[in-house]
Amino acid sequence: MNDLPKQEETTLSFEKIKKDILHPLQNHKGLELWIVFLVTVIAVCGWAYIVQLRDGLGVTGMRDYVSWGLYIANFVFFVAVSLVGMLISSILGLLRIDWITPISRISEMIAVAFVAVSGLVIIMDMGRPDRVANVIIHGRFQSPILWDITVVTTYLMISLLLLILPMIPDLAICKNELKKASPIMKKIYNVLSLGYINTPSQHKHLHRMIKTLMVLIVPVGLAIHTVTSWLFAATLRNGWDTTIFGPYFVAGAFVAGAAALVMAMYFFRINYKLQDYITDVQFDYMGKLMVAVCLVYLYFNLNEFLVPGYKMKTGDDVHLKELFTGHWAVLFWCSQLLGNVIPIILLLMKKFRKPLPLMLISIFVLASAWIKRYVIVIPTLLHPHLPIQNVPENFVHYFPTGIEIAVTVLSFALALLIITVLAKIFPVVPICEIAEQRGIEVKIED
Amino acid sequence: MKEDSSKNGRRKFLKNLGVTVGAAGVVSSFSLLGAAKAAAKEPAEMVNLLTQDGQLVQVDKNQLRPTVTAPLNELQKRGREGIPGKSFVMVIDLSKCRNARKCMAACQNHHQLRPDQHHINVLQMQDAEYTAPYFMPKPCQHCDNPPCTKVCPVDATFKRQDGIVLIDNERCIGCRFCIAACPYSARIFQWTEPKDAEKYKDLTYNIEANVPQKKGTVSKCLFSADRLRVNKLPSCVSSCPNGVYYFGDRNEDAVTNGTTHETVRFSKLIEENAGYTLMPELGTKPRVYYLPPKNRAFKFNGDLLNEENLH
Amino acid sequence: MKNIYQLLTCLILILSLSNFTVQAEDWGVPSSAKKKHNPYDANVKNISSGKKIFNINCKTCHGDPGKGNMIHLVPISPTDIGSQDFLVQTDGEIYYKINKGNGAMPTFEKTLNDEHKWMVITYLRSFDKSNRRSEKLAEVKNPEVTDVKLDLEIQDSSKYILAHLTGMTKKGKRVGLHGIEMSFLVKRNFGYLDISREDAYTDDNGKVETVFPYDLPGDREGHVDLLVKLTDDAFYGNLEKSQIVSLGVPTIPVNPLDERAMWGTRANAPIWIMVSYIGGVFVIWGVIFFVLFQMIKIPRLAQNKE
Repeated sequence: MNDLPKQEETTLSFEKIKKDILHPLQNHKGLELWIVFLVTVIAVCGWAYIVQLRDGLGVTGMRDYVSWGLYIANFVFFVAVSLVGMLISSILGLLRIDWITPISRISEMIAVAFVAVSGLVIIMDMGRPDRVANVIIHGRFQSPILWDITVVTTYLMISLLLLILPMIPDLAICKNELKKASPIMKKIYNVLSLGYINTPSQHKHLHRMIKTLMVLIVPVGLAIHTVTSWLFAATLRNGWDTTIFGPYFVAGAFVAGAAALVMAMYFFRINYKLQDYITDVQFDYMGKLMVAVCLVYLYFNLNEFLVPGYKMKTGDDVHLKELFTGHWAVLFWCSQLLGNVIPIILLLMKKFRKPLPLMLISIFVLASAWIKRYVIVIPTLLHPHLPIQNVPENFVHYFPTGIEIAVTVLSFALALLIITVLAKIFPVVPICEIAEQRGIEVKIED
Repeated sequence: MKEDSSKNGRRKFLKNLGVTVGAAGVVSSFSLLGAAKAAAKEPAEMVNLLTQDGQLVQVDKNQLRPTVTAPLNELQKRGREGIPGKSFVMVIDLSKCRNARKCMAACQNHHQLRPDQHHINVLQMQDAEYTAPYFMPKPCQHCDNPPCTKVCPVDATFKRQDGIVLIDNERCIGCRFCIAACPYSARIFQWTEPKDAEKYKDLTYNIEANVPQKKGTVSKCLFSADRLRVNKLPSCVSSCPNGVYYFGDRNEDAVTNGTTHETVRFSKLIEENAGYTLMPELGTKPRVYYLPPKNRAFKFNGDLLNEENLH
Repeated sequence: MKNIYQLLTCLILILSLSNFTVQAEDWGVPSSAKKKHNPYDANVKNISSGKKIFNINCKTCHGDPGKGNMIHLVPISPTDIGSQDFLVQTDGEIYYKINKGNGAMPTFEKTLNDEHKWMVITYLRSFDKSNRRSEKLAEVKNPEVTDVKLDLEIQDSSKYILAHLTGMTKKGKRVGLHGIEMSFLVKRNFGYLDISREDAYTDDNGKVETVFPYDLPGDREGHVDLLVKLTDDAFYGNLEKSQIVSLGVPTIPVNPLDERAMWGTRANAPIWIMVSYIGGVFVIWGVIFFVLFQMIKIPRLAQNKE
């Protein structure tokens, strides 16, 4: 059953692990340049958002019919990617699957970054962001938006805890080892490590808490994407009015999240020179995992499109024809083939599960996942029950404006910045867990 | 290709013609006409006013707008409560509509909307291939199971006791979930600064007319709730020159035609004319009833119905 | 190529406009239709019912006959159909036009029945100065009276409403005035609902009655505002009598907000959804805070070296 290539028996010592993993944190010039670049992008694109705040959402391509556009597609995408944290570190972690140990922290970082930005994306889409407090003051229990905001906040909180708690032993190491760190960082390491010195009782207590959170995040993770799907499924519109949207979105989220994780793994493996930790084994398994989640997603897609496509009910017919053979056909089939069918076929072959090919395939999968969200959000709004008439030409079509694209770039840059900063100040691979897994004694000085 | 473009051009042209002829075809209702005449006849009476920055100016009395005296809180409170004991319904007789669009103009005037913003929109409909085309005025349906108020996260849009679904643009956060949820496409959004925002900015907000409109908030048909409060018919109803609209209180079983002012039994009107509601399969329970376009007063003169116009 | 299209467009514009104008002017009434005659007498009853029908169906555009207060339309305003210019037409011609409609004039072929159309024509003819047929047939012959009074008699059980129109003769005798049309109206929110029976003319005793519709709602106690008046003020002026009667079906208005509903406000949310939300938030965040609280123990456990 377990056909994983044997963990190569390297002569890793605890000291070497510490050195390998902590080295890039302080000696990676490229990373700082990258951060400067991201901050510049954010500053430039932030101006686009200022323009939107000043002039109203009229600067976007959205109008009365397509009243949700790029931003909501982005929101769904961000939420989807963030679900990888729950998939890898909780579901697989609770199943005691050991190959995930080196990549669990990266997946949590992705989760934290993407879920945090998804909350911001929702605010960027609001006509009156100044009134966001109304959601708390006047929040209606019946509205999926209240649930969504609650769940996004909760998921962010638990993901943060699941990032930090398992990192406590590593932070204790950081405190001791990272001599060059700035005083602020030293302070942060000191506070967050909570005086952890890996006594058996500390170890036991910490892991009990982590396990509690790992269990807790499963329903919250499912909820975040299910509730997001309800934003659409709770309406009476062609293409959204379907009962399988919850699991359909969750399955799609696993695909997107897995692809994002593979790309991050590849990036850190090369840039942080972590080939000894994020090995071909991890990529091989991620490839297999991707086949599994893609198959599930494909199954949901089949149900989502084949069943209404078979009946061609009034309303659905126009919508589906536009998707299958009409204006949206290219995007639709791109998302289905490049993001689902072809990756499944390719990843069944071992050579495509090597790091580089898998990473390249993941790029396609992730891009397709984004396109898929775009195709879920916009065409439906263009096919309302009643004809669109007596409105200007630009109400009948939708194409994102420069401002919208800039704000989208802003949100992506923010997510990347969060990941980069986290990877700059925290070890991206769990030092202590790796050592424990390989039977190396963990020593943390007081 | 060329032929196609010419066809398109002609079609567009016909559409434009339809609009201009329609617009020029009928002039406003008596009351509006009367008001305009009265305003024109009255000698310009000048009054002295002190502006905010302390200057004395002379203003034509006719140009002064009456200020809403009730303070915001009072307007909000009574607006949210509604008129007790009433249950407002509208009946739209499709056999009478000839796309004069007086309703749309009156509505836009009342609610400070631009010409491309519709609380009520007259659509050219054809239910299926080979079925008869007709004009269908489409206001908010004021559903009794409203999908829009279900999804509002902040109680900004809500149904009140007289059945009217209102929107409070003092509270709306602009998430546009209600627009997505409405199967009748009855809601609009103020994407930019609303029409004449500068002119109306000091006006106290009246939730029952949703004026002044606000940037970044949703707006919708309100059955002219402010007019109902003084027993006036909604703007669209009383501006129709063709007797399309009936409006009234279902609790009284009576609706009044906005053009002829004839009051009839609501139940009889629906029963005798096989009245129906839009998309009953959605379970929204609309308060707007339609009478089928049978025995029409006018021949359908819309532009050629093509796929493009229908979807 | 583009020019040709523009030319074509212009051509179509001219053609369609001229077509429209021609249509609006030329009704093309066939001569056979002109010969049709009004089969109804020009008596007061017919004129009165014609007026009612006219007021509902024609007045909004044509205005009052002879007053010239029609609405103004482009390219052609509706005619004053009480004017002599209009009334030179034969009954058949007018009948044809009512039937067919033209441009902004709707067709009444199906919306009005033949009798109603002829009544309208009868009413219009009463404005015709060259045709005095109607005058000769004026048949109401009541004695000259003063102090005209309208009395109402209501029978709650059978829902009968009896109006009694009387006047004082010169001899000081109160007599019923016959042949006068009465309107029985019930006040509704935006107008009056006519509940008169057909031919609601007073009998020889000056009495006319109607039955209040058995299923017409009133307020909570069944009260309705009843207004009885002379339909035509030509005889005795604008005489009317209003009274609150309890003939309506007592109706307790249903307040849709009384029930908790998914579409209701937050205060009206279904209990289960409030419980689920609040419960869910409490449980999840309870656990989160529990874990956070437990983390305080970590530093303490450092001393606990076994």
